[in-house]
Amino acid sequence: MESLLKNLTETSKVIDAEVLAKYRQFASVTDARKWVRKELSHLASTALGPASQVGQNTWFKHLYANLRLLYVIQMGEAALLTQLPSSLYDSQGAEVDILDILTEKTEWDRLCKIGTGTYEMFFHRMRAMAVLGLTLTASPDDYVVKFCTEYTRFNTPRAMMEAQKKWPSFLVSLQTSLKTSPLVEVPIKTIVNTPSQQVVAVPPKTIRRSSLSVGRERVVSFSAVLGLLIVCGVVLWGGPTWKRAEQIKEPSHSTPEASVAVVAPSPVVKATPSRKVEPSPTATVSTQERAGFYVIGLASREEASARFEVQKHQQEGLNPRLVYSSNWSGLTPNYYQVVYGIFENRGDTTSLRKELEKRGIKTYVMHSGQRVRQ
Amino acid sequence: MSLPLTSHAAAIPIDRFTQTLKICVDREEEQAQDFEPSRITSLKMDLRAIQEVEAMEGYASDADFDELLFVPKVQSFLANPRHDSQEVKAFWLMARIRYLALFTRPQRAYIIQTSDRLAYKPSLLMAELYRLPAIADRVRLLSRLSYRDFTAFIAETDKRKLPLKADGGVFLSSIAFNKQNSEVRQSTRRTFLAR
Repeated sequence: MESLLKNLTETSKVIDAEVLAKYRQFASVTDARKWVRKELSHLASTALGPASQVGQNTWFKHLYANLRLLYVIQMGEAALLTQLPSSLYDSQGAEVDILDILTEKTEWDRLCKIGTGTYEMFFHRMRAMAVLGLTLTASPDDYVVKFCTEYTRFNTPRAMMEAQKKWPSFLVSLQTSLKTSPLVEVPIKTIVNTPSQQVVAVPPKTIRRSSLSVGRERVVSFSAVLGLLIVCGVVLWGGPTWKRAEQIKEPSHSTPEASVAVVAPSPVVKATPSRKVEPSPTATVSTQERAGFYVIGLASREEASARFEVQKHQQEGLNPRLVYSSNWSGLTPNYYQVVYGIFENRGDTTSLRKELEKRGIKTYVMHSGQRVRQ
Repeated sequence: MSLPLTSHAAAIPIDRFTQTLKICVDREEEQAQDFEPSRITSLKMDLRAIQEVEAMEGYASDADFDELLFVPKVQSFLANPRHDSQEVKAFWLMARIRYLALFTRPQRAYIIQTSDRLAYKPSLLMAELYRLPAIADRVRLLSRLSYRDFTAFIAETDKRKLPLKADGGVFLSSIAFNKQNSEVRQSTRRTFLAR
């Protein structure tokens, strides 16, 4: 958590600039909302393990950035541009301003309120709450009482120690609050047989089969036969495709498409029983960093944010790569860019970009120029 | 909304200023207890006052109010018939800090949570204030008001161009010409004279 304190004002400005840039990428408000919905759903389902502090910090920043983006979507760019810098606020203001958040009725409304302030304000407010051991579920009166009666907790260095200790559990509480959002799509839990359910043994003769269960079995056996037929067809038709995929894996990269991460997972490979199941044959192919036309998604000044994006899309079966723009003469320096594909010709980027757009990933194309640093 | 600090309320002394304020409460306004913006602002201002009290690292005594009168800013605030928002904020904070510093931490919590829910009738409050001959007592009375009530009160005195240190006669003459609302005029005058 201490690392979050470094260059806080600068980070705040950078995040605002990134949020604004992201906002400008969207063609419509609907697109932007869709994107935020997806991001928040992902943040709500991310495991916040205590082991990875970097991961927690990145999650914290991402949460803020998305809430900020939501605020910009609702209020427009002007809201961001006309906001006073944090330096003009009272140094102790954050501890008091928590009331602004807590007077909102629902947890989601409280989270939305966070987006109305800068990242610096967000951090200080959340730290103050963590210091007092409160979460976004606290009532304003609870906060007032704690503020008055336990004010000494705010005194440094005790405050820092308290915040450090309670930070991980506080982040988990933030995530729990996030799950109450109407924008978050909570995945339906699969029903798992508990051991107690498995132990209960009912003699087969006593089970009276209903017509429904018999019908279901028929459907299942029919599906199995159909599945076998499909597999056979796939083996016959998909063999050459697999061979082609194998060729792509070769380091020679004879064609420009060879280095491209294809978005859609191929059912052909999944159906081949003799092979190890992969989400996509080309997803495993690394986008080897070389000169060409780069299909770029997120560009961030912070490596952690870009890495987070890469990991997230890798989990979705894509094969993005993190590229530091200063290594290439044609790219705007000092950015960590998420690159989804590298092509010889600009025209070849179209299909990949369309695929990515279907998944809600906005991209742009730039030529890398020459490598300037190893 | 329950207040978990009622046990500490018993220890808060009920002095004449507190008694005076009780009769000035606007019961209709008191009903509105939601967190409307003015109430949040009031609470936040109280928290800021508490931050200052904590920074003082100690408790004040009632005699500290008398010292306030020697502060040039306070003197000019009391003498001026018009005030801007910054002046109002600064004066209220100075008075409030001295008031809250008289209490323990739980008592402070109780006080700020209860005072922000009250609303006073400015005309009645004016009558009570201008009855007090000592200026220090007037400051003590004003320090009991939440920020919301204080700003409403100052707006009223500014409207009448009445300085806070004006004597009772000046106040009476100001209400004598209030022809727009004779009922308020009469009740205010009765309050002023009867007590």
